[in-house]
Amino acid sequence: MDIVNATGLEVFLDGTPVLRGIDLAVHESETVALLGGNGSGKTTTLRAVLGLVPRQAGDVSLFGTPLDSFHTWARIGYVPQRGAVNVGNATIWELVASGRLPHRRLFRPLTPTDNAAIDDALAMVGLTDLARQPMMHLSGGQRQRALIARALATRPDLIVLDEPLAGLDTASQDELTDVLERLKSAGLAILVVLHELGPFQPMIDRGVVLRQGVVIHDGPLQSADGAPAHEHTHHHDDHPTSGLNAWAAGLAREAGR
Amino acid sequence: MTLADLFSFGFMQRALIAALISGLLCPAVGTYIVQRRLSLLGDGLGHVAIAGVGLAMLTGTAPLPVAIIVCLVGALSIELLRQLGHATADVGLAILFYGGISVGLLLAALAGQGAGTLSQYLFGSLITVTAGDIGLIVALAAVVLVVGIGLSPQLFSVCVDEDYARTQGLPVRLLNLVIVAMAAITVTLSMRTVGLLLVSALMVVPVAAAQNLAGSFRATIGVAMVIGVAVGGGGTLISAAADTPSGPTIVVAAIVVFALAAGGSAVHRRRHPKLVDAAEPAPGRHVVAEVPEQIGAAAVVLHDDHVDYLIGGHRHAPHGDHYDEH
Repeated sequence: MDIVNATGLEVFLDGTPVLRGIDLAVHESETVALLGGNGSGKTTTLRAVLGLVPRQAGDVSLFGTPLDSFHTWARIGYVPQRGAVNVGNATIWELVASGRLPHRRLFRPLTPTDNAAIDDALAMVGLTDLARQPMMHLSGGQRQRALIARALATRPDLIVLDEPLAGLDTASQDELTDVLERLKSAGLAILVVLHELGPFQPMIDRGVVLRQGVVIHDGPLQSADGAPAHEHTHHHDDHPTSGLNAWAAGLAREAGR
Repeated sequence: MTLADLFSFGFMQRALIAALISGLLCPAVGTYIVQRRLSLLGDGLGHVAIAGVGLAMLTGTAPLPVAIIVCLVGALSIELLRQLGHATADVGLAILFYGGISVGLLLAALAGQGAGTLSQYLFGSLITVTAGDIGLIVALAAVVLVVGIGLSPQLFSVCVDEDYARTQGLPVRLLNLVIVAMAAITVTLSMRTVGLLLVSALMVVPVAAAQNLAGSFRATIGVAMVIGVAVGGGGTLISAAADTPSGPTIVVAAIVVFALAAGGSAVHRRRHPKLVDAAEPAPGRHVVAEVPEQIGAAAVVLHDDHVDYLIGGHRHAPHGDHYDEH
């Protein structure tokens, strides 16, 4: 059973076609990167899969259930772009605790199970010691990890991240990579929107590259059939990171045209 | 006549009760409004309630119930229009502001009343709280408090991040309607004491003051409610003793508390810069090398001229620990 299965996705925003027939699948324990240039439709694809933007055509199913009748949201942990979150002076703990809502009943306090899940989520991203800090005092990297912890607090089977690396310095990107690797080895399926592969690239099982609302590549990133991959595969032996990055950058550049 | 003599009158006791309830209610609801970055919503709703007061004058009915109904209908309509994408929050608020006050003045004029009669509702007037008002105020305030505190986890999630709340399966549209309905009721209940043009201050200023003193969302609600009750009660006493209008007196008292909180917080930060390293348990690199990515909107006024707030922020961790957040 596919965890995510979308076919023929079409989305219009303000009358403009943004997605023009996207197919996307994420299988169990698979890490899939949605790549493409600005305006290629990668974030919109992710939002359409989660039902956050209306689709004009296409089918989406999550865990085998059509999106419109999907209710087991606890199985999904969504990590939005950092700028979309009004943190105010909420603490990390408060933010992460809000991730337990799919499991909580109205007018009921947190249970020991809730608290254990919150603690586990904080530990997974390395923020246990900072849990009482207000979010507004955090760096971008810490804030990103807090948002991931919120998504983990529900104990999801799929985690969906929207440009988690954007605007982070190298050290924070590396820490985030460690976090993602822990999630991957824990068996979570991961769908991540990326502008560039960066340090995530070794853990990506499959890349889906978009250009102007259409999928132009869907497969393992190292076995691309086009010339760009070949050229950069040559460098890959010496500089695995830069080689594949350059390949992805080439695709993204092409996608941006 | 002493203050004690004054409060032997029933109307003054009612005024004090109404002011204390407003002080409790306004910041409780205001915390969500501020977190959602809709600080002016209360002001817009106050204007809609003016239309309700005008309607009550025209029909010769009790102003409070009519104003509550009109304000609720207006608030829910605007929120629905916003949700359906027919109005932005910005334009919606503008329509509330000018439509509400214009209709209120028109209806009052048709009823043979001038702006002078309306002003007791605009700025608060202690002697106008009736026994019937108090019953309604207590009952509705209890409902709003139970919903506002009881649904706090859900409302918090929606205010922090609507999209995320949707992916949790929360009924986001309904919860947004609950928030504006709570705001509409709160605003109207406060019209006798604080006044419809000033009530928004009691929803926002105690919250802004509390954000300087509290280190978490939950503590902010608690501290803001304490400040609200203090300025509501204190302002009413001062108003009675000094024979000043109650609304402006309460709001000035709230602003004084805000200034003290902001000033005290700034001094505290400057005096204890060294605590940073001690308070930072993780590898020092994050604190030394990184700066806050973005200061929260509600605190911008207070903090954006203190670039060193990260440092101050970490020192404030013990403040956060004073409050039991579980």
